[in-house]
Amino acid sequence: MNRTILSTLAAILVLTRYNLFAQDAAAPSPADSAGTPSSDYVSRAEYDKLKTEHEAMKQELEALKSAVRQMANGTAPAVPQEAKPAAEAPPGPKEVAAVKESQAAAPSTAATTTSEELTGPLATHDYAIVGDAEVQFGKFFHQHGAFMLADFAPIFLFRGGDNILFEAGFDFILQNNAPGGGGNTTTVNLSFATLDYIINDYVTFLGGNMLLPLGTYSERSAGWLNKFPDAPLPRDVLPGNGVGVQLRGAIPIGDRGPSVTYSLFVDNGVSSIDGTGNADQLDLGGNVGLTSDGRFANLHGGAGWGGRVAIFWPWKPAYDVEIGVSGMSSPWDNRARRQYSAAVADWAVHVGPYIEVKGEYMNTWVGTDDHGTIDPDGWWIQAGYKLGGLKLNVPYLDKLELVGRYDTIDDGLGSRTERGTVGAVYYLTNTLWLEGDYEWATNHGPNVALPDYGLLFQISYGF
Amino acid sequence: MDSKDLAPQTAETFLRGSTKLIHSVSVVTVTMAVIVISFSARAQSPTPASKTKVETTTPVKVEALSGAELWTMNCSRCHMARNSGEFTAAQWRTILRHMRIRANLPASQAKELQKYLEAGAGK
Repeated sequence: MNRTILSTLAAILVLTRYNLFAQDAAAPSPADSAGTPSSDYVSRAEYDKLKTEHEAMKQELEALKSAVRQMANGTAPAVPQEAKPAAEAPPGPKEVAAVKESQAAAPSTAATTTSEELTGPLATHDYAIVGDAEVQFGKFFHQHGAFMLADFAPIFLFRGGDNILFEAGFDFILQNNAPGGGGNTTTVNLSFATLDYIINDYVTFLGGNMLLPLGTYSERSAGWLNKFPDAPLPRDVLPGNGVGVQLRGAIPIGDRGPSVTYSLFVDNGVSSIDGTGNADQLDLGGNVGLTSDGRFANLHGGAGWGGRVAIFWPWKPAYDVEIGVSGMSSPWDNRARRQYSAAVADWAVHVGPYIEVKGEYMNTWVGTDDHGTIDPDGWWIQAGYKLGGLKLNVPYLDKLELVGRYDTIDDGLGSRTERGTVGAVYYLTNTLWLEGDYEWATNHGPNVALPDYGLLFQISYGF
Repeated sequence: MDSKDLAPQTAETFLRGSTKLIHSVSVVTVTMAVIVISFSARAQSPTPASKTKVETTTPVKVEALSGAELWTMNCSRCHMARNSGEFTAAQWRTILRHMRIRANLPASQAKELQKYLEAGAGK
């Protein structure tokens, strides 16, 4: 039995070796075939070339592994040795031409980029510019139609290490001078400028000119975030900015996305235009620091303080609800006898990627010299539906979102304005929008805040 | 009322205002300090109780959200999705710091988002 098996194996071995020799003899050499070797075999030159390339790739891989290990340890990766297959096996003219052709076709190969990136440690400081720009056209009741807004709003971000960020947002706006004055004016407004320090995973410190976390609109109002060309009316009863300090952060609830967020701030508070406590002198945007004559550092000597707490609860991507409450309080007249207080509730709901509903309710209490305590208030709600949700697969229709908004404001002195807005947003790209809206307003009381109707068109670009 | 009239008035109200200011700042500072200390302590201290719990109960594996899911969940609720190739990895790192603060993103989610965006970052 054993002898039979051994004989069989010996026969197979002999036949196999014979077969290999026969194939080698039958295969044409590269020289014989005039540079066109059979596709089944490789020549010695081709083998050597492949081996050289393989060795070079191995070296490069080892260098990458080493660099990754060093980066993970927080040290600078060493400059890798350049793979030099050319030095080990000089290519022939045809090979050089082929290499040049492939480089021209794909100038940024992964290997080239990696080598460039690994020439030094990852930068700890960096900057970026983001922001938005808008162009607007409006036609209002009893007014000429006009291109009326050219707004460029860059945000400069500078990151100093992992925990420090400086951010400053500007608004460059062009507008006509007041009647009686020729020409135009370019206004440059510092929307916000804060130095942020990330203390830990749960707390970040902000100092400077802050967007106040009263509701969500002030922090999410950029032209390419807001689906309407103008702001909701009742935002006029709240300050948008304040100079001071803030602590904010988020605490996750589980691993599936929900979180509780908070913001607490102290700032100089609101102020009075003429220093008195008369109702029409409330200045929500003043008191940002030293007066321009250098005499007063704080117009009323008090401080404003407030904050926001919210819960964000997504149950799956694109399906979520956010509810927040916020408020602030501050003296506002120069004698610090009159108090301004505000309370805001905000909410937002997303039902899939196509439906969004959100709004805010705000109430304020303003102690005055001439009207006692008044309570300017208002609310707004808006909804949007992206027609892509209909799955019609019509190219232009799929990029359209229908939007509607209702907003109202009561000035606390007997005047109230209601406004309705319907319109559409057409998404040319993910950052370039066309917006068109029809607005109609109803004014009650002595103070007429808005014309009866208007048409607004806007091009918004986020960068 | 001009600034000359304001000067004595402001001086008169300064002390009264200062008392209120000190009171307000104290209250807010103490509140903030409590929050900072409590969360710092929670972030740094181990949770020995959880070990016992893991041993005595059957662990239910809940998969953490991926960067893509977090991207849809957090970013798309305010703006259209940006292509990760629009910015370099270093720029994404800076922008993510900005958005973590502005949108009050939890740190763990911001880090996952950063990985996701850096993986597809432009050169």
